[in-house]
Amino acid sequence: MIHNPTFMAVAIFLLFVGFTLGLSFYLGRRAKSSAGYFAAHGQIPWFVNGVAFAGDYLSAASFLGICGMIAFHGYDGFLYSIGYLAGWVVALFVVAEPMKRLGKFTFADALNSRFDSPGIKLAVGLSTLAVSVFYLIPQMVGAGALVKPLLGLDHWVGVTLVGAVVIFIVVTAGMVSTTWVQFLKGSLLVVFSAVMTVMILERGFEVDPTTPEPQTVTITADGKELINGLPLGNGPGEATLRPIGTISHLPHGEATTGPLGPIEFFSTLQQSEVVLWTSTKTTSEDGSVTTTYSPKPTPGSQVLRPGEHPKFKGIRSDQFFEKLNFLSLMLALFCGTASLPHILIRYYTVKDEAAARKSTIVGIGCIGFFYVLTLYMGLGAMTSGAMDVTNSNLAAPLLAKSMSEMLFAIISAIAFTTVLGTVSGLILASAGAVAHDLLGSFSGIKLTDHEQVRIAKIASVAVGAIAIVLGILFEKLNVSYLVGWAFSVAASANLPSLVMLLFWQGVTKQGIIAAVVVGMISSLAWILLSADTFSAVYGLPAENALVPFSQPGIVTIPLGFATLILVSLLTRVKA
Amino acid sequence: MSYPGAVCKGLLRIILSDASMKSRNSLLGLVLFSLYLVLYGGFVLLNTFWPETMDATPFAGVNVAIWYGFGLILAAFLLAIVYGFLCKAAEDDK
Repeated sequence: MIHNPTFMAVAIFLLFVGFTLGLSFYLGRRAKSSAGYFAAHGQIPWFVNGVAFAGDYLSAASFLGICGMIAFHGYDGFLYSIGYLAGWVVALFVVAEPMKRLGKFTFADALNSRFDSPGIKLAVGLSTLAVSVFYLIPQMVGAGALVKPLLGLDHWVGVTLVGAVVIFIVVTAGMVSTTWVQFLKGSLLVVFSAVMTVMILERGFEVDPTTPEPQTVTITADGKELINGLPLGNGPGEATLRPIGTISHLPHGEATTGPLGPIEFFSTLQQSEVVLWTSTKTTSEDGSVTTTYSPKPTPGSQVLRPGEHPKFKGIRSDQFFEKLNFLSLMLALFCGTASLPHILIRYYTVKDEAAARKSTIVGIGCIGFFYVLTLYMGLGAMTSGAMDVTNSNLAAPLLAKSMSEMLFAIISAIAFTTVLGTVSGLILASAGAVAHDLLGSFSGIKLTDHEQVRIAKIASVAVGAIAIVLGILFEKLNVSYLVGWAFSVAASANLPSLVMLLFWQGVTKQGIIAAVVVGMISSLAWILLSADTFSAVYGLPAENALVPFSQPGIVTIPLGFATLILVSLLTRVKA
Repeated sequence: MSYPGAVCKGLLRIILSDASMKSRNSLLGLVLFSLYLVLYGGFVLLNTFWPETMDATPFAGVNVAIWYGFGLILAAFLLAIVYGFLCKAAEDDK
């Protein structure tokens, strides 16, 4: 599709980004010490911190990825919503208060509270970096996806733009401004998602009487793009992809439903027929690659049930490994939230354990409400008649565009600040890992307060640059799927140590180091050797993959626990 | 009070009276965590091994997948409120 920017969209976008940067710059004046830079002096009010949790957590994966997955495949995307929220139960009931009690600036502080071991700082610092960089990729991909329809810019420009703005935010101000940016973004995202949901229900469903036809995109051997055999463009002799997302039948042969209630919305769709789209890729002898998008009328009852997305189809098959893959993903989502370094450091920005607990409850309220809305927004996009068949990540902004240009501009700007908020948190967590954990402790060099902050800022620029490059390379992957992997690495590397430290006196420092290293390396290796990576990243046949299923959690999380227990027992005996 | 209600109240009384503030909160957290784990585990296992149970429309023409999914999100929030309320009550008592 050709996305033409409008003046209003660009103006509102620039206003949002300008305000965010101004706020960041203003607040940045307060954060000169390391306590201010990494933990906002522990002075953030619990309610603000709770909403900032939502701002930090509801990333591009939640807003763009889940909505896109639901819009293209139905209910399966909502499984991510359920899993992402369930993870907060672990965070609140198991991790929140001890994290606040044990730590100071970083996740490594909490794990190292009993031992004062440079080895733990090194291992956990590295795992923080690995998880944060993995989590950064989908955020940057989301940013690139957003600027296409909004500003008419290429993917790489969007990624670079976000990278530059976020580096500016983190370098100028640290945790104080990051918190307020996240608070602002969290509030706006939840409020405007609710507005959009009300508009979806008000609009109801309408049958599209036209018969959708297949569409093709051909990339010729010399790199030219052809749409349905014609050059891309709006002029004569040119073609552009038609927007998709239609209903072919409504219950009782109705043409339109009018406004619907929140329950009626689902019951009506359950009895309707929706046109979904499938894609197949073929390579001709002359070297051109053609992707054919074909309409597939699908009963609503099928759209609203799990197991229709290609990645989830396995649950409706008899193949054991396919089912294990699903179990593994849902386990990683459940265990991953409470292991994400950029979420955990937010427990240090409030004054005490009660504030940590209360802010988590506020976070669960905001995040849970938003996740309920994702199902409405995804299905609303599915039936909006405005989607881009080539990119599922654009479903939510294009849904807004189908309602009003103003809403589109606001939603896109919010989505952009969504990326800014999450990426800021991730880069700050990475910078803390480098300056506070890796350099500050392991190297034995005693850094002054000022030097720690300066090194953190240099690390922010470096991590930001890496994120920009990865965001450009991974353009075509659904952002929510990428985040699923980040959760697997986080849960495998960090959760076993954290949980065992809290509930078992027999933990040793060697046990923690071994568990973090084994969990991190095994989960990363599993992902790199999986069928999904083979096909989507290396371009190799999925059958050549070296592991039997793609999601590592069900193997590598227990492996982390087993390693910790075994090594702790062995090293305790020696002591 | 119903039998399950009395049992819950008794358990909470034991938890709230027999432990220090720190371990009292973590015990309470573990009880609520276990409760949610059963709900979430049930959902995941049903989806994995008996996905056809999700297709049924038991109420208002909406299927089990949606009711159960929304129920899990609501349950997380309600359990969080209960946890916050009980921890606060214990802190106020102290």
